[in-house]
Amino acid sequence: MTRIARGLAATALVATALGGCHHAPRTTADRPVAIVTGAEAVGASIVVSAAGRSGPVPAGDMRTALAPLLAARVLDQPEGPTSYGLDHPQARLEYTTASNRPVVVLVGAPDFDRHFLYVGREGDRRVFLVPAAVLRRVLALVGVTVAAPS
Amino acid sequence: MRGLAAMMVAIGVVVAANVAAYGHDTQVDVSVAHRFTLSPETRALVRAVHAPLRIRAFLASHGGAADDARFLLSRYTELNSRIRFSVVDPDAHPGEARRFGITRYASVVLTYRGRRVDAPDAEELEISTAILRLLRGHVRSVCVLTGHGEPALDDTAPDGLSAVADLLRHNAYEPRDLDLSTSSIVPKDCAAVIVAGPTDPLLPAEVQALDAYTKADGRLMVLATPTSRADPNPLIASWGVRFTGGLVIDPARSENLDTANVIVERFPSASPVDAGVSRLQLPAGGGLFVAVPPDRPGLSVARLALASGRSFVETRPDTEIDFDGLDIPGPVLVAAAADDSRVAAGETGVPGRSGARIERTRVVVAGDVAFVTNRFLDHLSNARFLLNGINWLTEEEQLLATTSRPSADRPLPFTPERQTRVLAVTVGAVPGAIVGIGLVPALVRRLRRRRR
Repeated sequence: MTRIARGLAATALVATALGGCHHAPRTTADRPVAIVTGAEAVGASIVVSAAGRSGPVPAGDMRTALAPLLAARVLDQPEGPTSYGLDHPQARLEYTTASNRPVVVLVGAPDFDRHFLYVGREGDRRVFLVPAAVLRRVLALVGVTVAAPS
Repeated sequence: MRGLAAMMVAIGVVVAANVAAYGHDTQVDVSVAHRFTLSPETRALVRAVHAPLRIRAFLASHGGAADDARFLLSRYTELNSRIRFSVVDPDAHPGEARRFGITRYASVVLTYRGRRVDAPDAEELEISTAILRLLRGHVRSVCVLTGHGEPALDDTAPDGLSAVADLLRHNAYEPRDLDLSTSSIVPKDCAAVIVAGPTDPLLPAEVQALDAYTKADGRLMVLATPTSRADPNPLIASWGVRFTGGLVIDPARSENLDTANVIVERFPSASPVDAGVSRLQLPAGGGLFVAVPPDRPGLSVARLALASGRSFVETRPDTEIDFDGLDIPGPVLVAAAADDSRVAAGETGVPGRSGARIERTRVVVAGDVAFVTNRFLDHLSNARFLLNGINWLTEEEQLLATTSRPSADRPLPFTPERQTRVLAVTVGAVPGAIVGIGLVPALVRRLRRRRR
């Protein structure tokens, strides 16, 4: 092989490699994310409250669904809290961890097709989407009805 | 050193090519079914947009569906800068979703001149349909006669017309049944009436109702079938077209060995009904002939589609399929369009003006109904021909949403004519060329020897 041919082959390889480079655009996260982690939830007491009513979340399925509390989707760059009903949350969940540290979770409005509820954690600017089915029974404890999906 | 120089030159060429390409947006779609290019119908539609048109596709901003939608909608904006689009994530922007009343993913909202039309999916067919509806600004009813054994609009079986119903809906028409046994008048809001292959005869009162409708500025499409006891001639004879009955046979252009499954490739008229139609497949159809009465100067009949010169109408298909003295020789007319414009006394319909006005009747006739059934509508240009006919009847501009979803199939009817051509090429031309090429050196050698 001549030098020229070798040079051209090397150039082609470099061009091919550069052409194959692709930077995936940053997207809104759609991975399941813990709003309240398992570590925080172990041994924590959970109290649900809404419109002046409050009560502890009983042990069993209801508690298991909230500890840890997982989100199906996360909005990393959300609009203001008004858009998601988090300025006037319809309910709040207060976790008191084993180390006596409070973790407050705000439950906002349902999303556009009512499959999810918007949820925020105090001190975290992100907004989370939690399946409405996870929260429906818990919110019913304090008289909040979560509408069925459209 | 020379290798390095070659490398530098090559890099320079690559960089220069990239710089040159950056400022240009030429694309070539080499996919088999042109999956990455808008259809010609959509391109014509997009060119007809003369005011800002906004498309909002409500999709999760991540994932394949949103990327596909962006890719597709970019094709629209490339063709017409008046079209703008955005992909809105209804979870991230619930306010916008609420404002447009979105309750499900993949909803697409199009707005144009204060009008709004929703598309149920971010696909070309659905978006083009919505654009067509926006451009027209109205949806017109197409009434399909029922009650005589006609294939039904809601029948999804191969012999049904559900594909016709879908096609009409996608092109800003609302198909609906017309039952003249309960009402003796064709409703005024029927922009056109289709009589699609009745197998039982129409009652005299029904014929009378259709005749009265057609004569009063009516728009009628008659799809006749020879396998029927219903005679379409009372509906069409006044408009210079007659149905011969019998069965059209075409030994030259037909699907494989079925000579009654005719492939039509001759469209001699300049009628808009033939626009964009390259071939039709008409299985088990009957023939037509044109007989314009001499006392009807306003009546003109266009011969829309002709079978090949070797075609004929077999008048006794039950007994034989051979041309004889009793048969009608070809080329057989299989579709025609009549336009009758008359000056009628009365109001012009224009405020402040009185006097004569123009009345116009339009009739499209085909000697076949099977070509619009679910089994055949997507074959060749059948759907386009039907839709052109409806557009022409209703005097809508010849804008179409795509006539069908993109298909990977590219049907090429293997007609006897083609078989002969293939045989000539494979048995004659190719071996002949090989032998010829082989003989050339021998001939050259012989010529050289002679010169010596």
